[in-house]
Amino acid sequence: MKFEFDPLLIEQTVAGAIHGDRKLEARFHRLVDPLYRMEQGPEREKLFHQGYLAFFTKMGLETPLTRLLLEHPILDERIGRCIARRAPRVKDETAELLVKREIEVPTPSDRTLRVRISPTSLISPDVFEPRMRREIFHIADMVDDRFAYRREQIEGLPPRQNLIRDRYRVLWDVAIEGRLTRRELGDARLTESLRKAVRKVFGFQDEVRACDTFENFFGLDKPTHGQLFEFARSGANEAGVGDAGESSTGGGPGAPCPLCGFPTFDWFLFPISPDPKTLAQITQAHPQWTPESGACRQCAEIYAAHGQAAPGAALISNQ
Amino acid sequence: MGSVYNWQIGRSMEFPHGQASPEEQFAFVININRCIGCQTCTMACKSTWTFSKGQEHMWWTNVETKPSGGYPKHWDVKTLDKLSEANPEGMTWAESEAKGRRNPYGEYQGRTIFEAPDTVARGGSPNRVLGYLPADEEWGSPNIFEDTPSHGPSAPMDFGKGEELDDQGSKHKAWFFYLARLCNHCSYPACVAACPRTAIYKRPEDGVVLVDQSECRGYRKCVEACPYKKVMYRGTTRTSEKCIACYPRIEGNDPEAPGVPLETRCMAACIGQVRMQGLVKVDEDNVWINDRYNPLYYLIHVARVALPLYPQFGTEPNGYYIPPRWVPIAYLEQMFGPDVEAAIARYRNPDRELLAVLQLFRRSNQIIARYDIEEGPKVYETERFGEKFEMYNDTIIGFNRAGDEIIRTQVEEPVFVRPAKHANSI
Repeated sequence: MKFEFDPLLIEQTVAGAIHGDRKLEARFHRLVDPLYRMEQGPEREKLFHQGYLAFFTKMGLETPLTRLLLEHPILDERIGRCIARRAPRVKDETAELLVKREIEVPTPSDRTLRVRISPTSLISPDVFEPRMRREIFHIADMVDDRFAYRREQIEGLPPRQNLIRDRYRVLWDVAIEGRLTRRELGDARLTESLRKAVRKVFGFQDEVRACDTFENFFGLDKPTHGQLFEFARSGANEAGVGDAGESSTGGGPGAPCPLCGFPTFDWFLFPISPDPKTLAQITQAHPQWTPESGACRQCAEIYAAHGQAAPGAALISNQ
Repeated sequence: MGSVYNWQIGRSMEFPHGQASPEEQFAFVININRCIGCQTCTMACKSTWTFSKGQEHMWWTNVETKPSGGYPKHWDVKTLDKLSEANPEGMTWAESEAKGRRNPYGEYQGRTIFEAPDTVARGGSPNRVLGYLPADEEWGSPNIFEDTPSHGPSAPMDFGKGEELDDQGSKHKAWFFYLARLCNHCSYPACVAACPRTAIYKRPEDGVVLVDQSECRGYRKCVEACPYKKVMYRGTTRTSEKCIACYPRIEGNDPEAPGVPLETRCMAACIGQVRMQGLVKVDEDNVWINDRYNPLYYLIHVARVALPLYPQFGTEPNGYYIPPRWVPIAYLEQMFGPDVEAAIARYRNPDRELLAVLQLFRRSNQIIARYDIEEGPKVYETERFGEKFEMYNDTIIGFNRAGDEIIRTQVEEPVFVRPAKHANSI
């Protein structure tokens, strides 16, 4: 894997690393101070960059990142390039996998790992590593054939799509935390917060089932994308925001209404033959909606009221 | 380490350079009671000096909402925390029997930032000045916590209820105030003390502190040392930059008034009329020389309503503030020193001369070197906070350095009655 570090990240990291260390500062300034006498321009910038890069490499400031990447040999096999950019804040730090578009079977050169790192992080590995380790783990899963990651088109209305996405994210995090814990790299506080997150996104499950869900995914040594996605998806159906044509009617307590998106405990039971004016009003706003998707009582009443008002409105507009 | 005299802390103190003083000293007074946080000063400075590439995060002048706000984030809390570590027995002041120009606030008994070598640096040598280098992201939100009051379930800083604004005993639970800040052009600048290349210097003619751009090599020791965090690093030039006190205006080189010193851009732009800036005379110890009718001398040494910001830092800052009346005294004492309660009492019930001098704020772009008062009739009398208050419609006249009259105004706001013939017309 080839590495490219953002010059700004290099510069700010070096500045932070040497600050306060008189000997290092003196050595560094012996190197760069003559450059201050040069005219501002590309040549001066190039030399400054070389100076900072030399110190960056000499001090091994890239080590916290490369060490994390070495935890997953597959990354080196499957990804051709890693670019490290500067994150303005610690909370903006991420790792992303970039793959060239329209390539069915990407080769390493088609894949780039882009990490965003705050300049303070590379000089504080104790804080940086735990956070970035989890980001990198996601990337390692994505390029692993056994995991078989692929982009999914989630059908249905936006609330359903969001719910499935949230559940997938939580399940994946749980599966990663479980593996890290078995390697003695886990974080008890994070594990606890993931346990709560599972309870939250699978709100229709009782405590025992949510606990089982957590333990099942936490214990997986070789999770697959299919397992995670199918569970997130089937869970969504169980919560009552299923695909059009599926048999579920209404939602479980606390599941989001497919029309307004707010969680509800008050599902409206549509009759076998719903009022066509109400149906017309709902499908006009939400074309993919069917009575089986359900709706909260408040939405049902609002659309029913609109349905009642519609003929008058049509009459006026026809005049 | 040399020894210098700091009149704001009423004693000599350690400083890396020897005692020196300028011919005149740049200084300013900001009346916090009248600042509305409009940021006009901030933008006047920004659009004049820091609009170029690499200066995006630089705000030489800014207005922050206290107690929560700060640019960089929590600059004063962080410095105070460090200073507290250096002063485990507290940052205390001792009363002086005879207070004068050399010790108006008594004697500070704690250690200043020059007397508390921070931590031993990793290279083995102690720092010259106690300080810290703000992280990149701390500079990113110049107006964070704007209008955030001190009190409330989500507010981390609770200093108790505010002070009484009237004599009915009413106190607000929540309070905040706007603190307008720029470089204080300190008499003993921490940036000058810390610079390893002596690239920062104090001009002998007016005490303005400048960074020599041809000498700076981007060590950022100045950024770390300045307790007010008013020196900033510019990535594109890899040097430090700071407020230059609009020195072409101070020198009288502005086309608006050739040959006459003008106030800085941030002062001149103040629509709230809360600022006054000038040049004062100091002796060899940087103690102010008696200049009774210089408005700054009057406000700071005679009326004693304007106080330095964090005098315990020890840099002898030349920015002075009339403290806000509604803020708990304990908080203000930490910020402005032990004389704050008396200063507020004097401002709350101003005497005849103070009331007149307060009319001079922002009446002219030219620096007012001297004032004169022509006495007028008594127009109002009442009792406030158990004391008699009298208002005289005196006329105050301001003169520039050349001795020319530049402003003449009265204490009582003039009232213009619209003639009947113009009724209902524009």
